[in-house]
Amino acid sequence: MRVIETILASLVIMVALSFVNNTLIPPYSPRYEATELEKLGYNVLHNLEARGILTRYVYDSDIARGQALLRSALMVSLTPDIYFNLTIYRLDEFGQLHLEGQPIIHGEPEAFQNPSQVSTVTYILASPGDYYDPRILVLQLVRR
Amino acid sequence: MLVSFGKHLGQHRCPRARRGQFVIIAALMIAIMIVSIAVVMYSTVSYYRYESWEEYMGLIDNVMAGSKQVLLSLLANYTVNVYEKGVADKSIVNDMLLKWSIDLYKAFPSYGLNVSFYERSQLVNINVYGISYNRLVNGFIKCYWYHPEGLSSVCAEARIDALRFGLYGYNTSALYYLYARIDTTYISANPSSVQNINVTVVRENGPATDLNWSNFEVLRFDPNIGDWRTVDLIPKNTEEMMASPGVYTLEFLESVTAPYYKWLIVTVRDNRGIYVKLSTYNFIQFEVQRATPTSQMTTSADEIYTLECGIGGHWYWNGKELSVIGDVAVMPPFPPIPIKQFRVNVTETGSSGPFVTSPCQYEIWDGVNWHGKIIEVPRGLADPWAKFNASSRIVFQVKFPQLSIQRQKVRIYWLDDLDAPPYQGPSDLTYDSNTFTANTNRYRVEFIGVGHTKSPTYPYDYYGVAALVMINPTNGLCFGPWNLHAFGIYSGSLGEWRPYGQWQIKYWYQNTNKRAVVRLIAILNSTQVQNIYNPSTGPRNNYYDTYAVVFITANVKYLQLNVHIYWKQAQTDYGLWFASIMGKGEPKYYAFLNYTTGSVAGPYEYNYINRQHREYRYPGYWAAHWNEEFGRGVIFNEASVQSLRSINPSRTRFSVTEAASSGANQGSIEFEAINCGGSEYTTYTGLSYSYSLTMWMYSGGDYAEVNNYYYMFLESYAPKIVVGG
Repeated sequence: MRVIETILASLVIMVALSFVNNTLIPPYSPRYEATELEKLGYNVLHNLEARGILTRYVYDSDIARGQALLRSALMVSLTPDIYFNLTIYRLDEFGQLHLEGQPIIHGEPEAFQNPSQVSTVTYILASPGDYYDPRILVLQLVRR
Repeated sequence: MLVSFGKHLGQHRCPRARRGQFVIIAALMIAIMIVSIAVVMYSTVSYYRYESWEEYMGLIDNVMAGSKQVLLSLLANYTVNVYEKGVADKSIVNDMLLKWSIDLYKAFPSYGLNVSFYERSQLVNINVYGISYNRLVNGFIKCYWYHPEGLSSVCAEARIDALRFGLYGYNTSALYYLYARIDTTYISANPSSVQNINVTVVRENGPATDLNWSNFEVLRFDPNIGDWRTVDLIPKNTEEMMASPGVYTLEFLESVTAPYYKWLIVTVRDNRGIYVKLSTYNFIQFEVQRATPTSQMTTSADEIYTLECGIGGHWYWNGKELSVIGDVAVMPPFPPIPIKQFRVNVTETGSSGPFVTSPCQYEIWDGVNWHGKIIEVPRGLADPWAKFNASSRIVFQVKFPQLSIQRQKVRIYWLDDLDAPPYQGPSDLTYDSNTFTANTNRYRVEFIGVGHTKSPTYPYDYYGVAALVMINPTNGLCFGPWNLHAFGIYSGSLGEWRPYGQWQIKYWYQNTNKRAVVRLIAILNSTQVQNIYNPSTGPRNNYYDTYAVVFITANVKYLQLNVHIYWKQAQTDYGLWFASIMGKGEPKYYAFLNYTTGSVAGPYEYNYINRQHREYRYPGYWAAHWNEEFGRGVIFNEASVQSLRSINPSRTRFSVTEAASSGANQGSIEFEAINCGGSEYTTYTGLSYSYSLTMWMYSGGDYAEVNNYYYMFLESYAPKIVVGG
């Protein structure tokens, strides 16, 4: 009888562990996990680059116009409940970062102060044409 | 199953055995449970790895997309530099990729990102519209241009480590290219004119479908200006130009008439900034027809011409432009491409024989205004990357090894590989700057002058006088120096004032470690003369200027010398020499060709017992001295004989001097424009003359070889170029 009990007990434990494993949602761990916003940021920037839009706007000879167009492109690409702050840096020949134009901001300032979710994506962009002049894009996303 | 098993056994087994079954089942169940728990624990522990996959995939995508753009920028930068500046600088590849790796590290400092790039070889295989084009791409950037189809490509392997994700050795390769092809089938249709051409453009991801007329440039050769000019294209957008994906029709504003539509240069630049330059043809062909009197020659085994081919249908031999049989207008023009791309094939058994590779080299020639006279002189070897232009000459050799051969065919073609170096095939031509010595397989020449005043093979110091010492390379025999020019007598010693200066040796291509393979050029540009017997007063600049050019040529028995003399002040003295070639007592016999009779005078034997300076009238096209082992002949061309006779024809002499100033035997041969045995002669300011001499080095025994081959160097017997055949 003890043996039968042992077997039954083992079965119960096994079933319990399987149930837990399949149903339990693990706690949020930002150290290891990319947030949905982060994934979204990468995807948006990567898609814009793949379509040639990102490079064209970032390297527009008229920086203000390019950044305005980029702002529009990001607004279209992101859902309305997401605000963003995109900062573009230019790398000089000594590796120093210089702000290119102005930060491209969409959203109310308070949304950035008390966001429900916030994430930052860094993206590097190589120049088109026959010269080397990369840009580093820092995209901060917040969800209202 | 378990039940029936138990029933079956129950008839034979005891209750103790029945308990054992439960123990086994329990053990199995526990084992299964342990395995299950292990799986659960593993998935719990490694959960974050699956989650972070998406994050680092985003990073990798970013790195790869940026790297692609950097590689495209590299290719665009390289091709635009080649196209616009004629500069192919691959050092930018490593510089730019290193910068990119550093910038990536800086952009993602917390990821421990380490990206490195490596060269990769890959075969580009293009199969569209019936095109089958295969080329190997290596060394990061590879370009194949100047043929009817061409390619610009970049290929690299990227290795990515991202320490934060525990990612090591992520490896991926990338190949990007622009291929273009001109449809040249219209040429074979032989129309009277052409209004358009078709060009197919393909990229790594398929036909390029985003180009318009501004992405193309067409050049044609204009005979009126003797150069290439742009053909204006009718502005059209992509839809109007593109017959099918990637196939563009370029419409000319003005038609291009025959035969010039056969020779077009087309440049394609895609919207990524990458260039490809194409040509509708890839070789130029003509024939060389000998004109030597074969009936008067016994052999032509050494009848080898070192020809120079210039732009616009100009060929040169021994300082003379060759005459052309046929219409030069039907001769394809040289395309404006880097001169290093050119190669030469020749036949050796007659014009219908097979082609063999001929060594070739590329030189720059200038018309220099020298004392009010334009003289054509080489500046040196060309910059290999310089485009073929009016100053460029391709130098190659054509043989007529049998008397029965009258014509040989020559094909000058160009390589499509932009990495091709200047022709550097096997050559016996070497130069040792330590000993100032040039070597060929036929002779050795030591340059005497400022910086190297005395040859170990000749016992007299020349105190900066420029001369050439010829040595037999097989046995080291040396007869003595070849003096380029001389004037006057010093205390009974002949040829007092001789050109003073330093030879400039042209053996290396500019800015490279590539060498001349056909001939070495040595230039003496001197404004001073030196008393070779008494240098104590130092070199003088109140006599004459000398511009001399020597060609030391591989594979042949001759070396050529062009001399230009300009007198700055009047001087009075005895004797004026165009050439005095020393003997060091080695030669036994001499002979010369009599200008008046056209027959050989001699052979004479040097009299080293009753030694004298002996003068003979009417020097003709050659003179020689020899012994049983070694011989040298000096050959004048027709213009040089006239130059020799131009000052005072009654005083021209062939002469020999049997004793040196030290009292040793000499045995020279000399050509005197004014004989030293007569009265004094006074030069005058502005007196100038030029002459071209050839030294024929042979194994001695008699003068037959010199008498056999001297025709080669006479203008009347110069080869002719046959075009359009």
